[in-house]
Amino acid sequence: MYSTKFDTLIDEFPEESAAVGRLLELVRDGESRPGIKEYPPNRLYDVLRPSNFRVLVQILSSAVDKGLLRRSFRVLSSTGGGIGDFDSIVDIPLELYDSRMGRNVEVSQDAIELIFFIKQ
Amino acid sequence: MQFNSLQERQSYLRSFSDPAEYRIAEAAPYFFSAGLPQRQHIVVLLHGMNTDAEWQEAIADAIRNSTNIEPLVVGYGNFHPLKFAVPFFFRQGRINKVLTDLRGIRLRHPDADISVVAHSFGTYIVAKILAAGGEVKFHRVLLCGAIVDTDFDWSAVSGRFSAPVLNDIGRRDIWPSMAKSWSWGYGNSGCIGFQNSLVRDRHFTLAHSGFLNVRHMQRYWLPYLLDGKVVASRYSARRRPMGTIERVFRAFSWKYLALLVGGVWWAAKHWFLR
Repeated sequence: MYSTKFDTLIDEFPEESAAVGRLLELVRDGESRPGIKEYPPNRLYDVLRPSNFRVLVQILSSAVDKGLLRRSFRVLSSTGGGIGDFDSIVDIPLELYDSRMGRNVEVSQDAIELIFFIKQ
Repeated sequence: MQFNSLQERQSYLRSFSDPAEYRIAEAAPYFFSAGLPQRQHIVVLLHGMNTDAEWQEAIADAIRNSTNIEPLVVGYGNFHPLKFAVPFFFRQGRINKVLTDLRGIRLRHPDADISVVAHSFGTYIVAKILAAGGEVKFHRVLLCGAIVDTDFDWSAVSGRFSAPVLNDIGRRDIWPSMAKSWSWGYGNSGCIGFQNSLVRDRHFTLAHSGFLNVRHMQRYWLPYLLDGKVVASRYSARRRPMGTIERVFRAFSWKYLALLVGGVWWAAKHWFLR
């Protein structure tokens, strides 16, 4: 199942077959271990070693569309830790309840990070 | 791009109609901190024969306005069909002109990735430049309406481009077959493809110049030029084989028949009708 989806991914990005192969290893490795694995973009860039960031975004987006990865935009509390995960930037409310502070806070751009998950 | 607030950024993202570009714009800021090098990317647009190639400017404008790729129009004049048909004298001059221009581009942009989009006789020139060796290397090579020999040895030149080459084929395109039938040195790769592991043949229902518009460029060429992504054509998967008559007609070498008829006529005139 996975290999079929990855074949499609290689079909889409033939020049990046090595990077897609490393993504396959990463996903298989994540599958074999318990728990959810989270990767920030920089870490994925280091692991996959694609030719540029644009194509990395495309590969990861396509992998998300195929259900191989999950992607979230995480809003961080100013006291540390996440207070909400969202599928898209446009889904993030301008104000959000910060359970760590016990009140609503205005969401700033700097308080958002992008996370990729290997396991649902 | 800098935004003062989340609301401003959301408004910007909502302005995207292309989902792929939206995803890039949404995620790109989080990848910048990886400090990835961004090389300049130049795309050379090379036209076919017997044309003033108005499409080059239209497509160059669209590329320039929607990407950070620098399109450069390269040409070799309005190459007459009679010169096109003659297998010697004229072709090498056109190849040399394009080669000189490409060398100049490389000199001016020593660190840039240089890709090429070539149509019809332009594909023949690109193949000849690749086969000749030398210093010219391409990043991506996109052919449409190709008249390159289907037996072209891509593996011999594979170090001079990033595989795969993308070959857009038009089902209603008769000109590659005509070029092959009526002259020497050409092939009908724009009709039947290369069927080579270094090339991705992509089929459309289009005629010879049906590719040369902004809509096709944005949908099928840009993903390849920007990211090496090959957007599948729906027609590629469900195309039907050519009929026997069409196959025979396309494969027939009219040039030999013409030579035979000419030879018979000449012999009759000089030997039998004295």
